[in-house]
Amino acid sequence: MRPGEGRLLLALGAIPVVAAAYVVAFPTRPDYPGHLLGGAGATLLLGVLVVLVRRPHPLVVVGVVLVAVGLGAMTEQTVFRLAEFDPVDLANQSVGAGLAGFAILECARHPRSLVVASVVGLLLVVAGFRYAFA
Amino acid sequence: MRSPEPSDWSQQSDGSQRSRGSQQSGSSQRPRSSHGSVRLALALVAATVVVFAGVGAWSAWARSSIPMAIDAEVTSLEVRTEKHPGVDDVWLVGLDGETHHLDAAVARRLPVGARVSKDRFARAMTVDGDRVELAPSDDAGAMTWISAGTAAVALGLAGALGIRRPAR
Repeated sequence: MRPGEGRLLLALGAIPVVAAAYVVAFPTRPDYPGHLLGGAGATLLLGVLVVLVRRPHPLVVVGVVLVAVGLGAMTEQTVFRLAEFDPVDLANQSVGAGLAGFAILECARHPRSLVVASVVGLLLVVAGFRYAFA
Repeated sequence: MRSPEPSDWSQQSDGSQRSRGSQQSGSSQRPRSSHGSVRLALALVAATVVVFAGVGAWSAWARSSIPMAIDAEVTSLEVRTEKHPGVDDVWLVGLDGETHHLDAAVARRLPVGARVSKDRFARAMTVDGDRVELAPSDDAGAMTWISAGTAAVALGLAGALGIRRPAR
């Protein structure tokens, strides 16, 4: 393991751990972990794109997280709005976006880990959709 | 060949990178302030998680109507289905024309035209003179402890990732 990759794995590993807790806590509401995983995966992919373009200042990563939260609110209000705008869904996907922010900060420190982050981001998005629409 | 060690935020604002030697022989102020930026970013990201974990818990609790003060007439009642009818239905109750998303267990006790009153954070309401007990839903209870746990994870991550690596 390269120096610093342990921290990235710690940051990435926290996302499925929290999602697993959601699955246990809400056995009849798979959409809750679905939103968390989707928010985390989409934010991670957005962060990877930003790091690819230019290694960002740490506070720019915070901006990436907030942009992801805003985009999540917009999609929740439009394409993913079913019965109503659900603040619980927004909260869950924003928690996921925040957790992904830790991983993006580590990616920005270790750009060689972008491939790992990209793969994990894609897996999280796929898992998020599967749970959200289960 | 190893690329420059990026264990510190040694990149300049113009995108160039300082060599490890320049960090050691140059001013020690730059790496220290950069690490401060990392810690600030970690704190802000953790705060984002904590805030939205709180929003989730509060929203789930609000559907029990327990946090609300009510003195109104039920003006509408609508049930909208989502992906799992009967499981994740959305019960929208109009109170003096203002729509609230409430738990099904609460909304079922509120017929259109009924007069409803309750104090903020009271665990009972009066519906046309009858006392109705209130309790948080299973979702609200679970959301409370999972939000607390998620906030703890975020704060723990921020602490762990904010520790400066020892120089090698």
